[in-house]
Amino acid sequence: MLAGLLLSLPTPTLPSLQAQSSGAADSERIAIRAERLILRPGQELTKATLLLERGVVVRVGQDLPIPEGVRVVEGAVACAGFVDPWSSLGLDPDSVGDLGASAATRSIDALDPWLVPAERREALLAGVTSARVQIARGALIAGIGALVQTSERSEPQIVREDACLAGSVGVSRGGRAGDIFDRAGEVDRLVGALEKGKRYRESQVDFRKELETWTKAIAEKLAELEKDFKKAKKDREKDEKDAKEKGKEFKDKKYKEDKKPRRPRFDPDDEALARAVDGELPLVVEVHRASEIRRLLDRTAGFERLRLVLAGATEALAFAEELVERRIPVILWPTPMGTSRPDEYEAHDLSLAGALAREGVQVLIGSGGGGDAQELRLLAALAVGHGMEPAAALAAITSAPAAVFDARDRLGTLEPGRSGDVLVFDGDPLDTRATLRAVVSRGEVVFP
Amino acid sequence: MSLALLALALAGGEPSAPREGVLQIQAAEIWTSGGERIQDGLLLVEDGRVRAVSKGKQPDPGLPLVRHAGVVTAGLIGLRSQAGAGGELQDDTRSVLPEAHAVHAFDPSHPDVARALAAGITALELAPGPGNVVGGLACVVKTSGGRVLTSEASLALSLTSAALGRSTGPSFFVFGAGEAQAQPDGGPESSERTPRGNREPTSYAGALALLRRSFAAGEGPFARARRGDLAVTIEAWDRHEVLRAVELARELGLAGAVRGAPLAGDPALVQALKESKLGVIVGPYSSGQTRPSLESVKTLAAAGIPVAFALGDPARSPQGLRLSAARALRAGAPAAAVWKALTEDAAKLAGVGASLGTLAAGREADFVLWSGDPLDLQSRVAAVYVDGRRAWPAQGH
Repeated sequence: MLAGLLLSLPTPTLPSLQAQSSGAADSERIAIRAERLILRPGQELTKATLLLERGVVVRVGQDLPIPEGVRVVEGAVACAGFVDPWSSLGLDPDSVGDLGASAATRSIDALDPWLVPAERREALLAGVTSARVQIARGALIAGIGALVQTSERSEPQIVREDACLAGSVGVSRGGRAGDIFDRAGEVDRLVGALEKGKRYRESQVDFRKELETWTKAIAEKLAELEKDFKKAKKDREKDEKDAKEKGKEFKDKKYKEDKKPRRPRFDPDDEALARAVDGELPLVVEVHRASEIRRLLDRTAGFERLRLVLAGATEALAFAEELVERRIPVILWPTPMGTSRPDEYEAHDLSLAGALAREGVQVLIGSGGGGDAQELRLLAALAVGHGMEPAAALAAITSAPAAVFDARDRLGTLEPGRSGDVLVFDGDPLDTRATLRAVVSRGEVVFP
Repeated sequence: MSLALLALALAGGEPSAPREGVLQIQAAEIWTSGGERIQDGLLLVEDGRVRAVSKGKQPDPGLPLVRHAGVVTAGLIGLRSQAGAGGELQDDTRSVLPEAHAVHAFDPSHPDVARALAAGITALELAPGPGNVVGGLACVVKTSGGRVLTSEASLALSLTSAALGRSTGPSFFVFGAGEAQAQPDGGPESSERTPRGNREPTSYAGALALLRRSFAAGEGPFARARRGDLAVTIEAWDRHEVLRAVELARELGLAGAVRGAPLAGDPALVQALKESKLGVIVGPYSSGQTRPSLESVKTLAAAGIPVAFALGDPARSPQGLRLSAARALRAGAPAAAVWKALTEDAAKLAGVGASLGTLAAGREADFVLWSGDPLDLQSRVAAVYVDGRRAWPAQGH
């Protein structure tokens, strides 16, 4: 519903597509020709063409014939649109600052199409065609995040309305973070919530089993009663008569099968937590200090299906081995920070992204949970300037976020079937001197 | 140029006897001044100064040589820095402090200074904060070796609301912290005005009256600024503040820079600035800086107005200086203008344009070895030299 609203904003500055197409108007198809076509980080074609149809990549190749009347966008380098894994772009600010969210609170309910449209447009013009948006920044449990596309078209732009469950431990709230006991307590409370979700799921599973057993038992009993119907009827009549003679009240015989198992009461918060515990959606926890990271890793080790993702992760390098082993990705915010930084970023260092990636940890780069998605490319470049491999840095803002938030078949690469989110640069995408010449979102040229 | 030729003639390929303080840097590319880039360049340094920059010349085998596969440029200059100075750059009780020397707050061994060095910044302008109408004298210092290039680089004035009606209680200030973000919709700008105290002046009119009175008395730094011997830096954030600063400079014949001014690219301001002897020190840019603000670098450079980036450290990271530049590039500023803003114009607006900011014969030998183009954030600092000596990484690493 709201998704429809979100995209119905007028975009007066956009040039008409038809006006720029050559020959017959064909707004449903676009061809992109590039000297370097980056299909996914580390895999590229030279002098190749990409064909988009109805918003989706349909063909990629070096000698693709370009159909008549299709708008052609040409440039030096083309790659997939950037995916910001840590943003609150387009969300109502009160919801972003709401520390009272519960597990079932949904970020898509906070989407506000009329909120600073310039901010969303800036993101789009900086190549960020989709983002994981999250409310309740800094809350212990921040509810369900969504994966949305930033385009301004009037169709639903939500890629996943339940991209993750999020939370944070040990972060500054209202200017300062708690002491070490408070912070450890926060880890315990978060894990406690997960345990509650786990019990909730177990009680549901138990209920289903009990119900099954009960249904079976009832059927058996009924069959038994049916079979011995005459005898049972005689017995009952005798019992009734005896009771009457003795002046007692007659009671029907109770069977233990009469008691039907009770369905556990539905709880949306427990349900959301249970889904995370079951690994249906990833759990993104913003956590910075080694003490909290250690406690969180230790205390979640028993949740076998939990898909934990760390955000912030300032002091995560010491845990690289475990992160690799448990396949826990991290979302980093490699922005330069001076002395006026939040407490939890005390050990912040721009070299973390490269260092973790070298250890084999899956690194995602995000814009830190605010509305600054337009910074994403600069942050990835900074990470390269501090030791990250360029292909890993490009993956950190394209294919890796798409994979972590279960949208690898929709976003993050330029393979057939993916959304037509394409960026055309006049140089390497991570070279901060290069200019973004064209942005295609969902198969539509939004810039120039 | 003649010096370079002279050096060429002197060196002549003959091995020379080893000399103290002489160093050759051979690099794939050396950026000199005015946007000139010399491929396969050789930089000759002697006694802390650039002796010559030449193209395709063979190094003298008798002199120490550093070969570098990347780019060598002049060191970056960090304007409006408080590195290692804590809260020492602003006075809470008095509004007019022409003789306050920021250099007294300089601690060369402070880690903030080392951090700036590692980011490729070879000189810092330690400047009084924006809270005093006349804040005092900014100095320019080196980030290694503790040398003070000049203790009287410019006179700091402030026409921002931060200097008006301050409380005389202790306060803490951060450059740019209360600075208004440029509003794209033309809505009112509002720089921070709280908390209100009763220290004079309490209004813009009062501040200007106080400034006129101070300059009219014509003593010390005021007289030197009027004579053109001392640059001024006027803090001005909102557009009306910038126009007042320009008017004051015109009236008193002051030259130097306006500092802050997120909307300096506004046509009315560009016109006024163009007619003045003032450049603009923009930023430090934040992540959420609006497009009109970021575009001001492009607009000012196109109008021929000198423009440079404020660093605002240590509250902002020294690494943020190049990020500010990259943000301006993203908003369409030409690379040459952005580079000039980081070095040549920064030196000029800090009042040290004659000695810093470019790699030309006779300039101070402060330079950086980059892995690639420094305007590409993917490039990293390989080594930093200050006064002709390797300062980072430290010798022995």
